[in-house]
Amino acid sequence: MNARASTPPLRIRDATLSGRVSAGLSDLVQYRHLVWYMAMTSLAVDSRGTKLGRSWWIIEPIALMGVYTLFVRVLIHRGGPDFPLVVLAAILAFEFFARSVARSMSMVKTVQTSMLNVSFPRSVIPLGVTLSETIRFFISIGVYLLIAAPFGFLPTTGVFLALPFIFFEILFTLGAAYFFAATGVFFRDLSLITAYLFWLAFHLAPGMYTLHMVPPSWRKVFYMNPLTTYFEGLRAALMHGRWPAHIPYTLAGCVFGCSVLLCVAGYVYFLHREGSFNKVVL
Amino acid sequence: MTEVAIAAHGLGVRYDLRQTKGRSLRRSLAAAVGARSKQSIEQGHFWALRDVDFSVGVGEILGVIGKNGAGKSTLLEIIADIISPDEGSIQVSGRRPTLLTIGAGFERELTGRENIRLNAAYLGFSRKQIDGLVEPIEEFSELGQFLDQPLKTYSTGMRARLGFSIAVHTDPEILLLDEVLSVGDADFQEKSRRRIIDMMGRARAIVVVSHTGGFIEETCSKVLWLEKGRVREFGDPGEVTAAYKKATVQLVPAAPPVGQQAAVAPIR
Repeated sequence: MNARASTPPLRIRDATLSGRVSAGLSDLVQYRHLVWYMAMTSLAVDSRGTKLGRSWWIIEPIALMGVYTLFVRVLIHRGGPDFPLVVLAAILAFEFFARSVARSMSMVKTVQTSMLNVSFPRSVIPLGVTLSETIRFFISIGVYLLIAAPFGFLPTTGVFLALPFIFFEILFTLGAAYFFAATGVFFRDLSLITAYLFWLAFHLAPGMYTLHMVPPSWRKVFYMNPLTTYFEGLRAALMHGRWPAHIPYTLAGCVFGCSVLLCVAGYVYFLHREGSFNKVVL
Repeated sequence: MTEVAIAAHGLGVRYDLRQTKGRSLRRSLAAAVGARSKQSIEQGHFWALRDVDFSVGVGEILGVIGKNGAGKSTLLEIIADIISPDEGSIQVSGRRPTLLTIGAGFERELTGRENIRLNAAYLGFSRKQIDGLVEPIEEFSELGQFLDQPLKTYSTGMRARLGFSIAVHTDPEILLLDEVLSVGDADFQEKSRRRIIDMMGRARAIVVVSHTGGFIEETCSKVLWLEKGRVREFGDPGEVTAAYKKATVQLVPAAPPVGQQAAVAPIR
């Protein structure tokens, strides 16, 4: 037998938290190709077999925008100026968040056969899903800018102000995806609960209206919902090319900081729980 | 002194039955529940492995035998780093221990060719390495034009053939075999057998789980006999398999005398 010399011991597990995080990050680097492949697979599977294929990525948010516009503007005669664009910006930011978390939870179940047979870092699952949703998010933003043009909102360099909001929303979403995916393995009802919880969060943020329409005394309540900052930030940058009028820099700094903390905490929590995934029914 | 490739000390794997409900419970424990003491189950947990000690040197082949539910597959899963032990420790010296199983990581909507890439990515191969693997796997699987069809159109046999073809091209240093020699027709089985023997020649250490006593006796350097999650015997292949056969034969009830067979009442 041809023994290969000087091969290091494989994954001697370091039980300390720092050891786990260090090994986990090293695994993510080694398995970066799997992250990318999972993202591509997720995008491919998503639209395969449907008549309209990837067009659904564009149709879905526009259809939601149409439903809200019909309901709010036509039936109850509410909503401010340029309501379709106001609601669409929030829908894009919300769909990215909600889909990433929900699909991370379901993906842990989808790849159960692999998890039971192959040793790979489970933390690639939420990362791969969030990456695929990020790609969809950017495509949707491109479509948004095309739709905004006929309304008189031509893109300016101010559009790039959306980037910090997008970047920190990705971290916020990834943290939530790690947390919910790990918890969902042990608490099945979570996937059903989150569907309602997230829609509640959408309606408790300025999704169907702007923060400008909220009475100043109530704005502090809305500020507690991170989605408020992300909805307003994306909307102001994409529509007007400026920083959102009612989001102070200090608030944005706090939300961005909390998003980073959630990302780190969610990842560490996921690493802490992943060793028990295969002992639980998926 | 022989360099150690795999060393286990006081290994134990415990399943918490309050969490392990549903499919995983059925998969992992259904066979075992009938074979083991009900006392620990009533206490809310179940030891799939307990106090397991053994070592495998570089260049050695370890055979693992035992009845269904003895803990053989759990042991392979620990070596492959799929599950973590709750007690004791295991040290594996070698790159990428790979458990050869059939059809892990398949995605129904993807084509056979896409599934080859996905599976190789699960195993940690880089894009360049995957590019080099695709063609040999395609050839070995003999699936031809079906490789461009979605996996959902494959028969069970075709899926098994594709899974096996991927598994035998991963070239691991620590090779873990769990009853994988019964895929496909006779020709494919013979080709598979030759391929595994070739892999054995290049691996750093091998662990084989098999119910085929002959294969274990002929090829292994050591044999580990597991019973109810504990080591019953460990050592020379001839001695351990002989003791195992003897114990197994004693458990099988003797056939009734010819004259008494007619006494069995027909099913109405």
